[in-house]
Amino acid sequence: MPDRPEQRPDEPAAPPVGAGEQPAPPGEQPVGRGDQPVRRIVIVGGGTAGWIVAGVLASRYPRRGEDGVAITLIESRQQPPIGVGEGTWPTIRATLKQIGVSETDFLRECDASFKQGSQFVKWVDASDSDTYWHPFTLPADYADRNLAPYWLEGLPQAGFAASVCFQTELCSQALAPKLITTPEFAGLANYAYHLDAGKFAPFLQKHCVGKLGVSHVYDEIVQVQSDGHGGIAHLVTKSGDLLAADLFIDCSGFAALLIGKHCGVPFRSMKDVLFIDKAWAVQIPYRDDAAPIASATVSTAQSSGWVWDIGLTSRRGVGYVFSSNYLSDDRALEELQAYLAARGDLSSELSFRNIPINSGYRQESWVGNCVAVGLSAGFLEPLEASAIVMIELSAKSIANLLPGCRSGMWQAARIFNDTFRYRWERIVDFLKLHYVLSRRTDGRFWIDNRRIESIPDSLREAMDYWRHHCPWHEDFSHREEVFSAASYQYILYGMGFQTSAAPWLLNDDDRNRAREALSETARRATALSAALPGNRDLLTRIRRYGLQKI
Amino acid sequence: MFIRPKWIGGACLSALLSFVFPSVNEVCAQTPVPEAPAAKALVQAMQVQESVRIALEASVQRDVQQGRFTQKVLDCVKTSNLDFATDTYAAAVAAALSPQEIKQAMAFFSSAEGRGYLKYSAAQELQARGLSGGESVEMSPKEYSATSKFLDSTAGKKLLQDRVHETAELKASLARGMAALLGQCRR
Repeated sequence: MPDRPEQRPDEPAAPPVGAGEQPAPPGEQPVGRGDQPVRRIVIVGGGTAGWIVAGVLASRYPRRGEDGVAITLIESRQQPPIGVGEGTWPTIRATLKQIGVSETDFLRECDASFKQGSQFVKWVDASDSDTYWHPFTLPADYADRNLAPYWLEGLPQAGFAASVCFQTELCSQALAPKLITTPEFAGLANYAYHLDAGKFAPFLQKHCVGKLGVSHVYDEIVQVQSDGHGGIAHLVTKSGDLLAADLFIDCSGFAALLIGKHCGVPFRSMKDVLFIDKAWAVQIPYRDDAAPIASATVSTAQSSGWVWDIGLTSRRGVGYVFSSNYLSDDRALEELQAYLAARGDLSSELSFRNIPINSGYRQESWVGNCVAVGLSAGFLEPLEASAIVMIELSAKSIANLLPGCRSGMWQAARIFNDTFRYRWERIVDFLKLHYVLSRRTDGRFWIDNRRIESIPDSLREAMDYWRHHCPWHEDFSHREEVFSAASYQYILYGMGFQTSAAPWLLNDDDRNRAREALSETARRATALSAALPGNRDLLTRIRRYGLQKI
Repeated sequence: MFIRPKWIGGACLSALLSFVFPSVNEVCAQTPVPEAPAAKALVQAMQVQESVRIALEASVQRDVQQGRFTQKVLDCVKTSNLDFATDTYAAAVAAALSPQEIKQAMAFFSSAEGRGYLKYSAAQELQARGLSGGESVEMSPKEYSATSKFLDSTAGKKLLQDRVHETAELKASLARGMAALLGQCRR
């Protein structure tokens, strides 16, 4: 039984959620008690976001008790997690390692598989040969040299990613990124995971509560009490307990109990830029235990959206995200069923789930002593699996910015908000890029996605620049960009974008080095393809024997 | 040799070229293909031949730059007769669409709005490649409306979305024609 949170029954009665005394408007400095130490953290919501945040904070600040940091997570039994969101980024390895879980345990308990990137099918012109890759491994020589202009100059037979990155070969053969003897969280190729979101949160919960000293409460929040100084004083639960804290982290999902309903921070919709607003999701059993497990997310464009196809160890997760402005639920379901039928996966036993998607984000994620993480902060369509990485980045930022006392909260909030507003904008740009570069003219969805008024100025300006300059490190201003120049190169050149590099800016030394790098990439692809086991094969052996701990 | 598929003539004949070009070195005899007059008129209205020429020229141009072909080959391609593409495509369309659907498609592609759609579609390819003529083009409200209507029609769905006419036979036939043409130009 986890510790109960601090109870303060002598507090005055609190108003209901969303109807209480309102905090200072977003962007204004909360007052609070400046000398009050920040030692009590309450996390609202026990999904993926809540438990990642709990794990990151608890591992970063391990001291508990009277002279430590108290972390309490409260969740309702009435709110089942959405259970999709199965794609991650390579950052998740560092996050899990920091939290202190074993990779073997994670793979076993979350039915996780290795993910090495994304494959995009029929995004450019919908032809049979229309496919390209966005691998996780950076292009060859990436730290020192931009190979893109030389690839464009020579334009070898293979596509951009296959030319500059060995990993596409591993993905196309559904190979694993490591060997059974490779230590935990290390790889011969950069990788992340596909995971069962319904199992991930309980897995983290067990670790956070059992190993990291996080207090866990099942209850419902019925009231949020302001402190009269622009912050939240405490939460009142259905069972009558009061949860007081110095920092409240809202991981309550789309409900946004604190940041939305109580703090009233506006939600900035992105539906005019990213048209996706609905999804059909389904779980597909493997036909047999030996069926290959894809080591990339496959995103196949459809008439009014795209289908994701993710392989776990136990099943596949498949879904069609689409725009209801262009396609009815029924027609979308028919398209998804046609996708499945074409692969021999359609059966009468499948259960399809309809999920609404509201693309956008909060204008401010941190207000007073309340910060939103996960769906309560925002959500954008899952094309590049940005949901979980944004949770990781948020958790890391909160841990890094956490002030010792309340007087520093305002500054932490300002930095956090500036950083995350920038990140949301960059993700929107990057997602939109996939649609803008498409040449599909076979449906209004695709045509409308290229309308000037739907394209952010920042993206248009960047694309204009890249007409005569290949994306490179200095094009981006932040130290930790969500999408690096490498990602832009993979999408731009994967989709046939043409940069007219000025010949006078190229040189023979770099050209020769580029040739060597491309040759080395091909050699490495061949060597690793011969050495690495299949994704399914390695995952089966890990279940049986585990990975090396060191 | 490989080229990215290019958009062609509204019905994305370009996609077929990705199957064509890998086999350009095979010089095969061109197979005559029968076609219905209505289907041929439709394919002409869809400007298939013009699109094939642009795609072919762009591909050969790149090969010239990379020393795989000579300028002579490019000059030859520019002036070659591409009737085989029209005929091949027309035969496929005639086999895949009903006479009523062909009529429906013809009405769209021969209209000002249909031509606007073709111009818009071609611009996507040119713009993506930074080629001249690829300045940003948007359809007028009238063109957009007519295009939407056509895309929702049986003919539009078959021709542009499902591409029912793009059979293996069509691809093989186009490949043969392209290979023969390039073979002639290289001689």
